[in-house]
Amino acid sequence: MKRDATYYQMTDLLKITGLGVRFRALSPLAALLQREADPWIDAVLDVSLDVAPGETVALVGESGSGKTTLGRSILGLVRPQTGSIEFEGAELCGLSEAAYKPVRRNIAMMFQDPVASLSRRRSVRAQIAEPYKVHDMPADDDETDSLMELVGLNRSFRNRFPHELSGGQARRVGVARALTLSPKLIIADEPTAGLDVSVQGEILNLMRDLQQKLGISYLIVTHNLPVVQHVSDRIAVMYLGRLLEQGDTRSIFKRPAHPYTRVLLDAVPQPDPAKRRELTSIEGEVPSLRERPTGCEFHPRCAHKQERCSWDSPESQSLADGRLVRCHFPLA
Amino acid sequence: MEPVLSIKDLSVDFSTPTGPIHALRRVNLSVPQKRIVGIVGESGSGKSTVVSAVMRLLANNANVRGGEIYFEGRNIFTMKEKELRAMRGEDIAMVFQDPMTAQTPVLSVGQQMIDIQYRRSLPYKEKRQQAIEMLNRVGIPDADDRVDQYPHQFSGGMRQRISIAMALMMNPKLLIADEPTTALDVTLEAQIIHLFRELRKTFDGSIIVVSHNLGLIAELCDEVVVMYAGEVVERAPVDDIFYRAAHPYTRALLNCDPARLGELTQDLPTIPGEVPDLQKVPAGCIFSSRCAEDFDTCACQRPLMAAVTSAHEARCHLLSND
Repeated sequence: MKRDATYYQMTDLLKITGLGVRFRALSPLAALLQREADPWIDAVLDVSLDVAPGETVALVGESGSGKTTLGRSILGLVRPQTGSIEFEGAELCGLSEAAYKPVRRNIAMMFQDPVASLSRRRSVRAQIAEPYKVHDMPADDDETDSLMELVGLNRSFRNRFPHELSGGQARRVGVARALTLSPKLIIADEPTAGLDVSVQGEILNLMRDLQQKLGISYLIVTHNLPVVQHVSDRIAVMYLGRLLEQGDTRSIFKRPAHPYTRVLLDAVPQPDPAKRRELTSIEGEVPSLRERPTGCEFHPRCAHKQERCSWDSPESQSLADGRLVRCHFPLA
Repeated sequence: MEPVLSIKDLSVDFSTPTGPIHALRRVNLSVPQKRIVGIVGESGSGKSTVVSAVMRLLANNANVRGGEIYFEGRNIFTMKEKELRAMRGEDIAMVFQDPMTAQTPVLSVGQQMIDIQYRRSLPYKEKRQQAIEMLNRVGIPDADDRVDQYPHQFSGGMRQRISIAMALMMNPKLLIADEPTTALDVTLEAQIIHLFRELRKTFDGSIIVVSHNLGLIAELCDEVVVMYAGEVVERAPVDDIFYRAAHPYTRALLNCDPARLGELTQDLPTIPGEVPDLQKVPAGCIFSSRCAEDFDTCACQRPLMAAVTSAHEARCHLLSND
């Protein structure tokens, strides 16, 4: 989506500031017995991110980086301890379960596994109509039919059950169900995981068409970088619960500023035998959230680290092109 | 040199209450010595069925309707159960997709690796030493200590390394890696690709890599077999597949990969249509209903494998018509 002058005057649809989500790793008793001063793990730490209307933002990172937790916290499926989430200017943090319910009309979620996220014992039509039921709205067959048409499912699928669907078809049901209440924001957790390349394109094209038709915003949680490059307007890169870099997709792919972003981009295997590289493969793996490294949390794996990185934790700084980078020595 | 593995005209059906599914039809495939062969295809293409057939681990409702599989010149369909058991794990080893479920959680990694060597007449200490050496070879740090740990004490990437170590323990002649990086993050995927390349220098067996990830295939393989809906549609050295693909399906598949799109696009390419129903296999070319280049012969006559070069062949009428 093109950003013109009006973009900067628009209010953000979703505005996350300083969000923190912690999980208890040890029970109070176990913590006492093991003399553990800090029984918590921070799954999301000081995350600020916004999504404009009609925009697609991709949240990328390795497993365990907190992407899914961040997505779920927006829907109130996990409750953040610090920070704020504003949706259309209204604060979501601290809402009661009852107060959250109307919010979920406007924010929908597509869950990770297309088949497992459907109920095995209910027909496609019942699954698509379920959000109406949850929100005490009259469910009408015409509307489910038109939703199915919208996502490219033939009417004959109405009475089928999930085991009778292919992965791509199940994903379409997931998209239809997310669209049921005409939300303004859809959080899509790995929308293409487990799909074949040819089907993956179909689903992403469908999501884009719907965005153009209905003006929906997407927050796509994924680790599939080749896909992100084509579908998202902006990217936010997460590592150990923090955002290390965020900015315009094009400029990040052209010149990643954070060494971690660079590593992620370089690691994608190239479907071109001539480009077989002597892999400058990254050492090590994501550290445990319980033993966060000091200073910059990426420094133990960073090829560009300097002495300062091991003790001084970098703040987020903005670059000339508006990108935010959490690094002392950005590459771009 | 004689190929390590050769599959000749293999056809496999699965019987179901609604009639047989013709999952593999006349599949030919050969794996030369010391080569890495990639089998690429989408879900339902039959890649896993081929692998199960090679191990003779097909499901109970499978019915081998024809064809032979020769492993080092021996027909595995006439082998006795005892011979098969000696072959599995020792001559042919496998690395599975999900490293989190490939090992038993109740035995230490070292014990599992010692158990794998049960046919070797070596003292226990020696076997343990072998296990440690193998863990070192696949890049497990502090292997001396970690050999006594249990699978849950290792991360996903480490567990995939351990799976590879276990598969190589008996120095097999053929290693089958079924989607070895699909469950891993990109950074770990790059590490595993790197490991396979390193191992190649010391491992003198052949490797089959089964994957739908074209990137992995391009990074690792010498030769590629492309499967679609139960048939081999193209077979060629890796460069020919990626630069001079002869079959329209291979070209369509390559075009769909977002990593190969040079230009940024909002409109991702797809392959229109659906995989045909394998209970009612169409009479003509299996890909004709989705093919952009099909003509009248395609729908009624099954194409034969046609040679493009001596090492490159594809099953397409476009090649047999001069």
